[in-house]
Amino acid sequence: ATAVTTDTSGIEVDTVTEAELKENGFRSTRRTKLICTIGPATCGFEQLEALAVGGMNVARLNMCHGTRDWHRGVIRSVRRLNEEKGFAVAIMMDTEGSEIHMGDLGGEASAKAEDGEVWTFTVRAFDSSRPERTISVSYDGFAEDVRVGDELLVDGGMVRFEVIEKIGPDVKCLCTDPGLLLPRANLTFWRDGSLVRERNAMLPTISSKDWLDIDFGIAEGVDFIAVSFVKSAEVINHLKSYLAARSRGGEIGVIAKIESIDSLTNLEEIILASDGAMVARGDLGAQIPLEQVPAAQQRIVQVCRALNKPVIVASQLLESMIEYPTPTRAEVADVSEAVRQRSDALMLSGESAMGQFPDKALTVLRTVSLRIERWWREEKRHESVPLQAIGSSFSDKISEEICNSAAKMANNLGVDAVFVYTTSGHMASLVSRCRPDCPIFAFTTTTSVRRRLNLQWGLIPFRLSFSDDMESNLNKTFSLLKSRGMIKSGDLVIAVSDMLQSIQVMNVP
Amino acid sequence: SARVETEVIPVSPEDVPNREEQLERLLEMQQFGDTSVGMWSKPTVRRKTKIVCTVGPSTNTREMIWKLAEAGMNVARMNMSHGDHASHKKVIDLVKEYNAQTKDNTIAIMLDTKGPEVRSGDLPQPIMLDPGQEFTFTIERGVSTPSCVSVNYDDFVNDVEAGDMLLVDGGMMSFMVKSKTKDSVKCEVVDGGELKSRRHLNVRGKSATLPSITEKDWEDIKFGVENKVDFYAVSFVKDAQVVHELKKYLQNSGADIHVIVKIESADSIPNLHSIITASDGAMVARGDLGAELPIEEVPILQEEIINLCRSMGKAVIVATNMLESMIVHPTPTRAEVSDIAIAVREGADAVMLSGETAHGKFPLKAAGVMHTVALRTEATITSGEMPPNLGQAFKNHMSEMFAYHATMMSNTLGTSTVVFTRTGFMAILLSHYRPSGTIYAFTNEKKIQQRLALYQGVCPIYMEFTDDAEETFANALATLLKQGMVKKGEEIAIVQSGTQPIWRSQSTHNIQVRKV
Repeated sequence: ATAVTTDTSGIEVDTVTEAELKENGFRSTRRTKLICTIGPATCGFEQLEALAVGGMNVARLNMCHGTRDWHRGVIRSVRRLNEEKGFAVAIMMDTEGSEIHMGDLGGEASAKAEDGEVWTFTVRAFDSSRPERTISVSYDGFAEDVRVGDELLVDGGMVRFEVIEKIGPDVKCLCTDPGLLLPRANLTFWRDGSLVRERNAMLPTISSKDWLDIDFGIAEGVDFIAVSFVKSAEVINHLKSYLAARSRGGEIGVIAKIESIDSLTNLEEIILASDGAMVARGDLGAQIPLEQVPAAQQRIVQVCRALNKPVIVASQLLESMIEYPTPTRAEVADVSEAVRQRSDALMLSGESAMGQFPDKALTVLRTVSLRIERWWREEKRHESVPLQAIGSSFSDKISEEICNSAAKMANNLGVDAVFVYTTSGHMASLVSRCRPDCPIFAFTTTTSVRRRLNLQWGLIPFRLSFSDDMESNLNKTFSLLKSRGMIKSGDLVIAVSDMLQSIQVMNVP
Repeated sequence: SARVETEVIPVSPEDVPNREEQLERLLEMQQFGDTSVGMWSKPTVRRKTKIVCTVGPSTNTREMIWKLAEAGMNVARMNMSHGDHASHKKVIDLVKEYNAQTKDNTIAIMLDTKGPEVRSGDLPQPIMLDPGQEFTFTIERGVSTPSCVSVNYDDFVNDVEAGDMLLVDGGMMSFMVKSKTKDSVKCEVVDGGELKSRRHLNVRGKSATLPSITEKDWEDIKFGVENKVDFYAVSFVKDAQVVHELKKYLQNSGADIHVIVKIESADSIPNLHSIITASDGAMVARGDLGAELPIEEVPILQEEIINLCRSMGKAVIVATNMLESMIVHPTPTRAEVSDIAIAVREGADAVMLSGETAHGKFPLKAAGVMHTVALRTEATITSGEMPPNLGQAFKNHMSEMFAYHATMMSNTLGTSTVVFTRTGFMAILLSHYRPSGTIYAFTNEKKIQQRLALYQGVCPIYMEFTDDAEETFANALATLLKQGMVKKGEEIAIVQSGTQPIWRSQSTHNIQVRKV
């Protein structure tokens, strides 16, 4: 991919996509979007560029780790990458949330708990170094809430402890299942086989630190904010009105992380209120029995699709690649299943943030996505369940029908691409929701909408200034794309727009 | 701790009504027996997807085999790449002892041949290799220097070309072939790491030109005949010829052992249909498959092989890396849980554990996770689609029709199915249609009882048949009742069909529904 400088009169498109289109044509483009969590292994400019070239659509910042200065540095590098090298990498900021978790182990990468050892969990903070076999806990009510005999699960069962004694702020626990303790790991406690949810369930979803992080995100102009441990739609609505007041015109998308029992109970209303959802399987598997996670994932993906919200499958997709250059076969099968479920995006966490092979992990996601998408088209698999109607106003219903029909026509006629002209991006997501066989070229006037569309399945977002006159828009697009070698005469295209209620089918002149 | 995670525990007050609803639905389907009947609430009865456990150093004791069986093992696998005949004999004897002692559970024995594995030679100590470094493989024996190591296969030099990618242990390390001489191959390290003794080597996109059954394998096969194992899993099968050869040998030795082909080499893919036709079942051996072929092809091939086996009424096992992280950790990754769910949804007869149970730290937990995930996933599957090749898979039209319609009937009525079989044929046929209730397969052959342990949904039970069919039925129902597998008043479907009628006087096919 070569560097492309911004040309305000022309068209802006991702350099990688452009190169792919030129070399291999329409069908070759990847439809499933990829998110990489940025951490120590990938925060340099060259490393970020390598990820962008490898197919990263969204860069994720995990506010559990790192200082704001560090995050600011990454955000600026990504922005520079977009400006100088012609990418459209969006930035997602992931809040820490206020569920119970361990402290940061005083800078150590991990600590090992052995069978039969007694560890102290405490709400005291340590100024100097962490005493041996002692873990600080983020939740002040911890020592009061737990009882002797409770079982303490770290990261959903990676390590287990039994509470044996309470001494003031300290809780002595016996390790019953050995394993590695990682910094800021999730803690849950269980009593008589049930998850304990008493006063700890009353913790606010967005903590005071999260609000400061959100202000930071607004100031730095991130594209998405992912909210941890969402329990109800209320908190999403609250955050959205806060963002609307602070940032100019709702430019930040809110992603609800589905990782608690409450969020599964209120799934529909939460997804309806947010701009997308993330299946955060790590913590979800800590709160519900692990074997229920695959079914929960399936359901969340389906609900998001039905309600036209992008959905991200996250956590432990390629866990073994933190250490090894090749994934286990189980991981490949898992990634292929997420692609088959036609989720919008796949996410790397530790694999790209702190792993030894971030580029290789990204390559695995890319090649598996491409292969499964091709298989899907070749097998001519089509959805068994028709999409429910979602439009509330009459004009919304018209847009929805137009997009459904355009996608159906695209499949039946075997067109090369669907062009959609949209200022808000809504029309593009409606086409994406139908998961047509061909790629969707989404033309939009603002760079921020363009970046946000980069999260959605099958969309190739372009920035282009266009007018109300579709005829001239199309001619302008054709000549610009032709001059860049991205389409050629004779290609069959379907065009829709949110200005004109029509579907046009035409060959590129 | 001895936490065996076989129970699905309620999670929160909100989750309980949901669970009750599900349980009610399941009870409606009468899929599960009454779990309060202690002695029969064993996993084998309720879970349909079977679990193959590789027995190795972590599990080759009497105690562990008993515990594994209780955690859900249905088939015990011996990997002939490791251990000697004496150690395998010990395991076989223990499994047989278990089977003899236990009335309500049966473990089949599978012997997995080593096959023509290409391995690197012995090293006095591991070699650290960095990307970009030069490294040589030689066919000369006994070489082990920091920059050169032997390979156990003489044609290695002829099989590889400059530009080939050489993988160690399925991709943990990789080498690019730069040049070769008549006895050595010069490579550049691509993915570095620690090269240890006797590592498994693959060439991306190529299969070694070696016979599938080596001399050592023939020795092992003889060992299997002597010890009356139930299944052979044959490594690196590339064509149907080798299966025919093995089957002929078994016939001549008078051994009744079924042959499962391991689909793991690139060369086997074009011959899939003929290989599976010749065999009694297949194993998707994803480790080597993903090394010889691009790794992203594996999920697609897995589905294709499962579909092919199921369309032909053959058993199919999904293997390798299913719970890899549980070799060292007590909890699986989310990807691994998802992987088991996929294999169950795709309709595999069995899922397999390798290193997890052979040398892992948490063999019982690994088996427990498989059990729970399979059980949970099965509860979400709706069955009852008519297969496109109805009546053609087994070339026995009438039996197939009866198996299919018995399945439909038991599904709509929500009953279990009872079948009497001497050859296992009718039970396999019923399993093929995947009824939602358990298939209680009564047989008067211990051998058949053991073999049927591999098949999805089949609960094999040994029983002497009497001359009177009606008396045999009554005995069977009494056994089921006594074991708590069915409850009084419950309805069951009894199928009588197959090629050779058991009771001459009743040579007609029939399905009947009876109240216990």
